[in-house]
Amino acid sequence: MLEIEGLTVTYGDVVAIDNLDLTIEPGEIVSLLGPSGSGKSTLLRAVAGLEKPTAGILRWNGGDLAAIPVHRRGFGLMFQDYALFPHRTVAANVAFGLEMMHKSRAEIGERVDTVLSLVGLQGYGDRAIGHLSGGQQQRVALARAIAPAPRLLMFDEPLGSLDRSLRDRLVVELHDILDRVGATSIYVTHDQQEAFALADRVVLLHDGRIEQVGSPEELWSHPRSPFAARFLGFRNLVPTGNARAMGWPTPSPVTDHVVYRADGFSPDDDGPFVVTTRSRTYRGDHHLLVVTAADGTELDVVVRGEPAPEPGRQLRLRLDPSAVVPVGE
Amino acid sequence: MVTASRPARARTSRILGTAVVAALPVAFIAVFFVYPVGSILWRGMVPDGRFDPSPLTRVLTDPELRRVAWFTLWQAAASTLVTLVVALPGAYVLSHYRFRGRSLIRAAVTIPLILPTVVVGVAFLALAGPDGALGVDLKGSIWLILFAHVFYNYAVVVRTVGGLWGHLDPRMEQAARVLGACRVRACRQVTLPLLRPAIGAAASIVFLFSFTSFGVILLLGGPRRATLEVEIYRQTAQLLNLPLAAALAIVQLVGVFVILTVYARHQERRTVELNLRPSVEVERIPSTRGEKRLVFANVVFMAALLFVPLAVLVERSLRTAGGLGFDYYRALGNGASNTVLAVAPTEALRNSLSFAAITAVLALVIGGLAASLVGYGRSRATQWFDSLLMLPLGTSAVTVGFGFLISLDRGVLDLRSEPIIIPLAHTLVALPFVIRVMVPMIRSIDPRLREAAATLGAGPVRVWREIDLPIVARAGLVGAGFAAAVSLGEFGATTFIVRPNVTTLPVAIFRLLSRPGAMNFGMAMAMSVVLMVVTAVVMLFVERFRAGDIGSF
Amino acid sequence: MRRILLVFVGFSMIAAACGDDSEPAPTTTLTLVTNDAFSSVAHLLDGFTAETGIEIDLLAGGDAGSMVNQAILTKGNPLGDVIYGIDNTFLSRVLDAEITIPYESPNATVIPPDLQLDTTYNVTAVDFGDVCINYDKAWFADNGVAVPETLAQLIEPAYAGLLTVENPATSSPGLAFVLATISEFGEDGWLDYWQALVDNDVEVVAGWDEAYYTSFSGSAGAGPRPLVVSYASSPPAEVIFADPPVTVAPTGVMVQSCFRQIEFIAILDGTDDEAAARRLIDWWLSDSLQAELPLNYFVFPINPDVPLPQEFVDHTVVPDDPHTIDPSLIAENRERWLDEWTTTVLR
Repeated sequence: MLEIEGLTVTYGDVVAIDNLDLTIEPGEIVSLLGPSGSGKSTLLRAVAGLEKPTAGILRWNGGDLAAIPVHRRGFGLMFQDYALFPHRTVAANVAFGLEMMHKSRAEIGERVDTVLSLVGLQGYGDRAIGHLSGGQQQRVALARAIAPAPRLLMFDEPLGSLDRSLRDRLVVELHDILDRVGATSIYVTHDQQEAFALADRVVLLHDGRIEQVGSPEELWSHPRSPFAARFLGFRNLVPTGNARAMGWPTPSPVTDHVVYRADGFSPDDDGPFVVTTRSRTYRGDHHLLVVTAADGTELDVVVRGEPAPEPGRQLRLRLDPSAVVPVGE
Repeated sequence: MVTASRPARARTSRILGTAVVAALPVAFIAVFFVYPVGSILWRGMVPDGRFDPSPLTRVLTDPELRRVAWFTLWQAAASTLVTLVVALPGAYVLSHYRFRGRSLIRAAVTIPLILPTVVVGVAFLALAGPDGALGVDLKGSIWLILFAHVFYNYAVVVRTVGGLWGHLDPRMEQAARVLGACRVRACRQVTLPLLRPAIGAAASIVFLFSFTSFGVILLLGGPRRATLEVEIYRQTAQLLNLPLAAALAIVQLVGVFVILTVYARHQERRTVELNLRPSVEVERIPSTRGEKRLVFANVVFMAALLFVPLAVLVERSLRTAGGLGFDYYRALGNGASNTVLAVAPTEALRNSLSFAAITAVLALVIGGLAASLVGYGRSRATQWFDSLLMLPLGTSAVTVGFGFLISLDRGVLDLRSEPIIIPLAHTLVALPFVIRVMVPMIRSIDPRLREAAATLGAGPVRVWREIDLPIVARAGLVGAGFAAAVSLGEFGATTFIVRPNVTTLPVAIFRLLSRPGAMNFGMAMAMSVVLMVVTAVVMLFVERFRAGDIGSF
Repeated sequence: MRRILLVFVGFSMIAAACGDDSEPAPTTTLTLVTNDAFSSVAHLLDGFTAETGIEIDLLAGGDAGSMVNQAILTKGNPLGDVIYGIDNTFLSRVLDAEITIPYESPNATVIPPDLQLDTTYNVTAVDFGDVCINYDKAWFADNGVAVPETLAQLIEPAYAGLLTVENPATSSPGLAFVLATISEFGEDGWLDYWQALVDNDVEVVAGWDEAYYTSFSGSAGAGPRPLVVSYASSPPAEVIFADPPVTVAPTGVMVQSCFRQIEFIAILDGTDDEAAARRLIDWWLSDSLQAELPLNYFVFPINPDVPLPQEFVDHTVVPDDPHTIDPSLIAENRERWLDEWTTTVLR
């Protein structure tokens, strides 16, 4: 169990982590989500021991980590851009942590083979790092991080530099591998899809503080702030007062903002909401409309199947009640 | 809570670690440079226990001495510039393209570094002197001096810059070109700035070499061209005018120190961590017509620059009264019978090789430690230390030699009659090479590699051994190769040291050339060729490590 | 990595092997400070060790000037016991610095008085040589030009562009030749003479090896100029080191251009073993060494009764009346003369 209490990390005048508290349970996969500069990588580095906290306590299973240097913490860290050792082969990279544990040659060989096949790189052991593709390097980095069976596995935007389709595939694989390894993990990303796909719990960071913590479902069903809502990708964020003035449905208990999910609308000549279509974009399986409500509020609306309305025309819409998401307190 | 004692303890241990690393290089430079040079300057400036500024005033006001100082400075600057312009394409070609004979060329470019100036003088004057083969008499012109300095220093640039260039991530330049920069512009705006630490390192060495150039100036510049080095020699060794010599040496030292410090500041601000790649990723076989032309043009140029003068020497060593033949080599074979040589050439060779080996080891150990200090340290103190370590290269050999004489004369330090004084003096000259080759490598290691190793369980020492050492080892080896070459050919600095009578190859060549007679001249040429071949073999040997471990640096 | 280590282990082993020729220390060892030129013929001293059991350690201290200056700087804590290679151009400096112990060897009777110069016997003359202009016989024969005989002739148009001299500031034969001109033309006339030489396209180079091997046409270096400042012993050397053997020297000596260089040996004040040092000086004056000097060190024995080798008899001359200048005058005026020469010739 990792406990973080009152952690503060500063660089000169810049406060990267500001009095942060967080507890991570054994076996849990926690994702640190936030825009760049939110302090998520710093938090990771502080836990790894690469960054010295200005204040606060880090505890692992009740023991203070302050006096324990990086190399004795037994935490694995997979770096953004991987930081693979260019002077070592694939196998030698993966073996590094095991060598540091003074394992026997045979044990190392066996473990390296196991881990390489776990990440789908069996037979690549003798390759030079420079001859691998980006995706392969990512797998080597993963294999290197998990080979010593660390007590805590940390990932610093590991898929950041890969293309979308490769990322989507690797997220699934990574999830699978993490399940099998069963280690406690912290996964840093700025991509909410990755976070949601992998994590048991998502920690949303903003300016060095925790904006919101919860399961992916909790975050999705009730962002705690307009920032959280916007960062999670919600459009159609409306102050509750404005919504009420137009007679739109509001959540109960009442929150200060509300989101109307774009796919919760459907055109209906009998619908209660009258809007004007501003633009229309074809998106393959749907059209995305930008419409304005009576008070000028802009909304995104997803329209499927039916012939989409022309821009400039009035439109009546119906709203699925489950698409009303409360935001904030 | 984070306790107060932890950072304090970390700081203590860091200072302790620094002290351990610093001890040897600091002691070495203090005992074998600062103390001797300080002693001789003190003797000159404070005669009879009273500081006498008049020689300094004279140096600064005498128009003739000012002319000498100015010539020294500008010829060194010009030599540096010309060498860089000429050698950078060579460094690129040798570090980026695989082609047949490359390792041989890479080894061969080091040969000039070890040739005694007298021998080089013979070759250059045979080419471009009065009645020279090229048909132009450049003797006494600045062009012949520049030409010779390029000849001597080509390897410095190729090795120092090529070492880093061959590991620069080629994607950076590619990225720049994709962003619309043409080839030249990409090179100027992306590659050159990234290479700046290495180029700066090479430039500083070439500058110092040219700044203290002695033999080349005397031989090729003609009698009207004097540098500070020549003037200091004259005042010290011939006239024993220590006050004036000291004043000149102070001007020389201050000038060199200011230039080095400005350079170090500049370096400090510009150094960036680079994504170094194994050479296998960077190298390729020239395929397009442009690439083939580039490689071809450079190889032809190197051949012209390096091999023509060397070929002259080979020709001279084979030119006997009865046409071409190996007479002089045979004479070397039973050399002990030659009264001028006194010792068998094989013994001279053995002496040279063992001094070179000791120098290489000393320079690598001391230089490696010093490079770590400079490379990892970012404090003002390490900057000063860095400049201090370069100073021996910019100090007159006669100042150092006479300094040794009056300071290393007591107790365990009385090394005046010990053979070890020779490799110690060589090490002083070789250190800057090792340091300048290693520091850019150390500074460019991506810190995340160290962090990655640490998170995988490697302690600080282990991180150094597993990450820094393998990446820097190649550079260290290149530096050690330089040190060996410097030692093999070094004659200048040790000429002025009182030393035991041990015959090395350059000493033997010098002796042969100090006697009249066709046989002596022929044998000196033959011995120079032997020295060339030995150097090439040593360098090829070092070269082989490049092809060693996968992804070796 | 391991291979790199191996290389260094190998290097260190070579180094160790080389430092490993320690022999049992003999009872007495003398340290002889000398110049680079003599250190190459150190085997001449083997006879001394065989005769006396005293070993000789040789310290090389650069050229003659460098060596003398080093000895002066280490006054009181000398580098060795005996110094050899002081020449008459540096003699006064040595005497003024009081770094030696006087010793008049019983063998000193063989020294002609006009060569000893120092009547206090702080230093002892042991050999001499003459710096003379050498000429390329073949060139003068082929070009139908008469070989010059006097220094004054060298400023005639017929000899324009033929002479190479060494810079007196950096070369000991160069200095000797300048002294020869001062001796010949006097304080009033020598600079005018040099101005005339400059006008006659004299070439100045840094050192003897460069002058002889790159400028002089009579050497194996085959340079362009047929006249060079060298030594009276150079023609015999050309015969001895000829390849293939020759019977006539390719070069000759301009007798009237010669300046005499006398070399001295001395005991350094501060020696641990003055008795052994004295024996070395005695031995240096003995016939056995004196006879060896010409063919090994290319100087003439100080003892006129020691027979010269045939090559020296056949191919050179010992001038009867070479140029000389009193050592104290040299010491007094050296710097001024050099400055004046530099101003006249090089600016």
